[in-house]
Amino acid sequence: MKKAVSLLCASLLVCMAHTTVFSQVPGYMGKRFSAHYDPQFMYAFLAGHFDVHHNASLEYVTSLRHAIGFRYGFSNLKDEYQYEQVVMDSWGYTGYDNVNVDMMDKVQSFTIYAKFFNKRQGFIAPAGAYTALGLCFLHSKAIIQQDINDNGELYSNGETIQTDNNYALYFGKGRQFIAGNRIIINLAAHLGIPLIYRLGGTHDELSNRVAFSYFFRAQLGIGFLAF
Amino acid sequence: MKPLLLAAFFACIAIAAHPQNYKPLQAGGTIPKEFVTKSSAKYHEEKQNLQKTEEKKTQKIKSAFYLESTFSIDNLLKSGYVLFNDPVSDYVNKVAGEILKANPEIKDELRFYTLKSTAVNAFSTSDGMVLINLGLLAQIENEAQLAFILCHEISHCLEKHAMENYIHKEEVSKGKGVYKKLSFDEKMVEKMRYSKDNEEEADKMGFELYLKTKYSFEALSGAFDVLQYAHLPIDNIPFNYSLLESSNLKLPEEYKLAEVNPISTEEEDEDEDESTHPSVSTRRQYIADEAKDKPAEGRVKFIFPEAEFGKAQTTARNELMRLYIINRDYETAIYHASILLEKEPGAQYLEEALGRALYGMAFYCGGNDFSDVHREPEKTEGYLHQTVHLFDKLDGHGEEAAIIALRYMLALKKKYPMNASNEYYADRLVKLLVEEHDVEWDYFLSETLEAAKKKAEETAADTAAKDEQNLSKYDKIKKQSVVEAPTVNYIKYALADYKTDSDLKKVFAKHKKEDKKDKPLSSKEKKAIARRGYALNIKKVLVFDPLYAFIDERKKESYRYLESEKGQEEFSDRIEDISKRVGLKVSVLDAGKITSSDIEDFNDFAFLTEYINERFRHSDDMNLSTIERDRVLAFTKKYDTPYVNLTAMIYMKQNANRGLLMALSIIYPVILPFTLPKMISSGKNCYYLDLLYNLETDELVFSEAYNIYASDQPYLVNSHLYHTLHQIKSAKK
Repeated sequence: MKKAVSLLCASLLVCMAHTTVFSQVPGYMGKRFSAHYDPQFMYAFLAGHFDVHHNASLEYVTSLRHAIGFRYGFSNLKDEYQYEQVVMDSWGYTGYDNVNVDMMDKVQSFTIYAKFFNKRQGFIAPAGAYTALGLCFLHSKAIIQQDINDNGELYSNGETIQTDNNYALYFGKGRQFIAGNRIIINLAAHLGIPLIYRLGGTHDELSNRVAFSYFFRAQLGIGFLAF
Repeated sequence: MKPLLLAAFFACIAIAAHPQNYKPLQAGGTIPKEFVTKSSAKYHEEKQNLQKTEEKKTQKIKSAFYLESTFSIDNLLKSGYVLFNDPVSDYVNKVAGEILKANPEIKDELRFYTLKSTAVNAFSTSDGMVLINLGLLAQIENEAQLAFILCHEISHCLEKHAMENYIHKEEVSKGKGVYKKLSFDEKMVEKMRYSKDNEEEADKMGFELYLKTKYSFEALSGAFDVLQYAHLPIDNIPFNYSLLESSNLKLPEEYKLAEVNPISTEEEDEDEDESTHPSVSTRRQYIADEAKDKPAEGRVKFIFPEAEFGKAQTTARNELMRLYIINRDYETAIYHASILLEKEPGAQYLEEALGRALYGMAFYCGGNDFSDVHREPEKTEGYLHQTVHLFDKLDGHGEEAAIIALRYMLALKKKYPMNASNEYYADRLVKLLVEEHDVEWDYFLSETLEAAKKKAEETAADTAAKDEQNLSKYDKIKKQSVVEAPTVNYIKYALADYKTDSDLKKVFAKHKKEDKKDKPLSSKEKKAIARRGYALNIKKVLVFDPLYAFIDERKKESYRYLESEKGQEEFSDRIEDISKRVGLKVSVLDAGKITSSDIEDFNDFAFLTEYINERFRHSDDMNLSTIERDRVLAFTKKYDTPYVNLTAMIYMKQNANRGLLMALSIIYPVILPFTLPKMISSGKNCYYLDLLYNLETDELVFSEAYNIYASDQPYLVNSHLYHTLHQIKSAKK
């Protein structure tokens, strides 16, 4: 994970170095750097859950059309884990019973992205309609929240039973509105395509759960134009 | 104190030395209230005065009329083209005062101004404003004719014909009442008929008013002559070709025209149904019949001294010269100058104006836009045809037109060494010759035209004599019928008088060097500009009349006057605010912010309006302006910048075509987040435009245009304004 995050940060630094060439770029009223809180709302297909992924991002306008940014996000996705438990009935016969355990998939995301503002439609970064492209590193782990002990009682477990690392590309369309020359309101929709699919492996359930939640997200963010 | 007195003394001597030097007309004194009152305030006041007893629909039409007329008239008043407290307006007011001597209460209600327009016309508004065009004043023959025209316009005012016409047109268009069953054509005829009725009524009432004055009836027929021949210049005398010639520059005979198209003396034969006015002959006859039985004793053509009329008319005619040039009507300007110089030979103002007209024409001759400034020779009547014919011939020889203009300008430079403008124009003409026509210093010969012609004749005679010896009897007989005169390329001798001028030679060399240096932007530079924008490193600009307009095409009255006025104020304030943030010094000349005491600002605004109106007529790459250069330089000095910025934001609402997007969103709800913003914003567009001109070089330094697919939200306006001003201010890094 450390390696992946370092790689993303290095890519961002390369982009930042590139931006010094474009120091004439006005940004919005001279402000090019902004910090955002961008929660993403998604519906995980198949899993049938609505989830929220909380994001904090830093963004920098590099040219009239472009802005680049780094985003850290996390979410706790509800999940279920089913296993067979050996049970003994009152006659002393042993059997198996399906047990559903409440799980929590903790997902952390590290994203570098670029926003391409639509200059042909008359928008100058960071205001107006844009298209976003990003590369995301997703680190997720599945934690058992509540399990059933042998006596059939619920107890809090906290055991991590699966971890997964994945990469995803995302494509987004959105629009940034600016209020009071400082506040950015960001409305966007994202399509995410995980790059690794693990079908039939030990991590498949967690991986798929995260992948499905990442597929489509609606974003409603608020940002602050700092300088 | 002494230095001041000395300065005043020398100034008087300077003025006395150039008594004929005309200064362009400017408004003076306190600016009348109606020029500085907000249009919305006027509209609301008018609206409040509506008779509540009237029908609702009449009130509604009247309200619409007030809205449209108030804003349209205010646009004109605030353009700087309307003059007040100037010598010509003062004279018009004096004559109006004489007409209304017996009706002081009416005089108090009416206001009389002059309009800087070449059109032979006058008009009035329903709220009591009478405007007389300079074009009309330049053509009329006496004070009595002016008085009659004023009487006619006063009648229009008193009867509120403009408003009546509007109401009638609305009723006819909507097909109300008796107009219900009329076809489109019948409706048009009905509208024209009503307008003609109003004109006849104004003639009738105007004549009644005129009867109360002591002005002569004799002059009245002449007033209709003025209308009939309004398309002709102020006089019809042969064009003075010698103005463009010198001892070494003689125009070829084929460029000159001895016989010109005759002036049609037939009275207009137009179909009266298709005109808003009765025919001139009908009107002339009506007035003649009315005047027939009236006593003519004691009636005069001039109540005030004739010299006053002459002075006002001369001023109007001089001003017309400027207006022709600004309107790019160079051929008329050149002919007009020829007429005026016959009356005032050697007048500096006229000679220099003629130079500017030649200068403007030189840029168009031989170019693709020549037809924009050239009249059709076949349709030009009278001696103006000679001027038009000359440029018709010069069209294929752009370099000749430029050399003729340059020779004239060099002569002016010599005659008026104190005026640096002529030197500038000469410099620009050399640049034009070198860059556009590849004419260099060596092109011109130092030999005089006369010597060259003599030499050519001698050479021709020598050759002929030699040939004669070798010819047979029959060849000699044949040759008798073909006697060719020796020819010289006349234009090469045009600067023979200046061939020893080392400074001029240097100017040619300078432009040749610059021509080689001028390279178009490389693709790398173009890309850099596309990513970052320009970096012009300009410290100060003058923002001229920022424009904001709101057009809602979904409504019948699509131009939203009230919203536009409010938006304009905000837009102007926004520019000032953002320029402060950018660190760019800005002076804003906004018509809406001029107050009664700001006469200087008003005149500056008027001057810039003229400059911009002319500059807009030329193509962007022409870098041409013919406005008096000394005024331009004084202006840039006053505002401490040669840069003038024009910016506009036009917000348009149209009917959005959301059907397809909505259908797609219902079929595939997943795309809703993508389609929703489009559905919300579709049908809303903003056009943002910014132009920056350098008044000193007449160059369009910077231009930017965006079509923004969104409404005029403040952050988008800010974003674009900041980007523009930032590009102007920032330096290359």
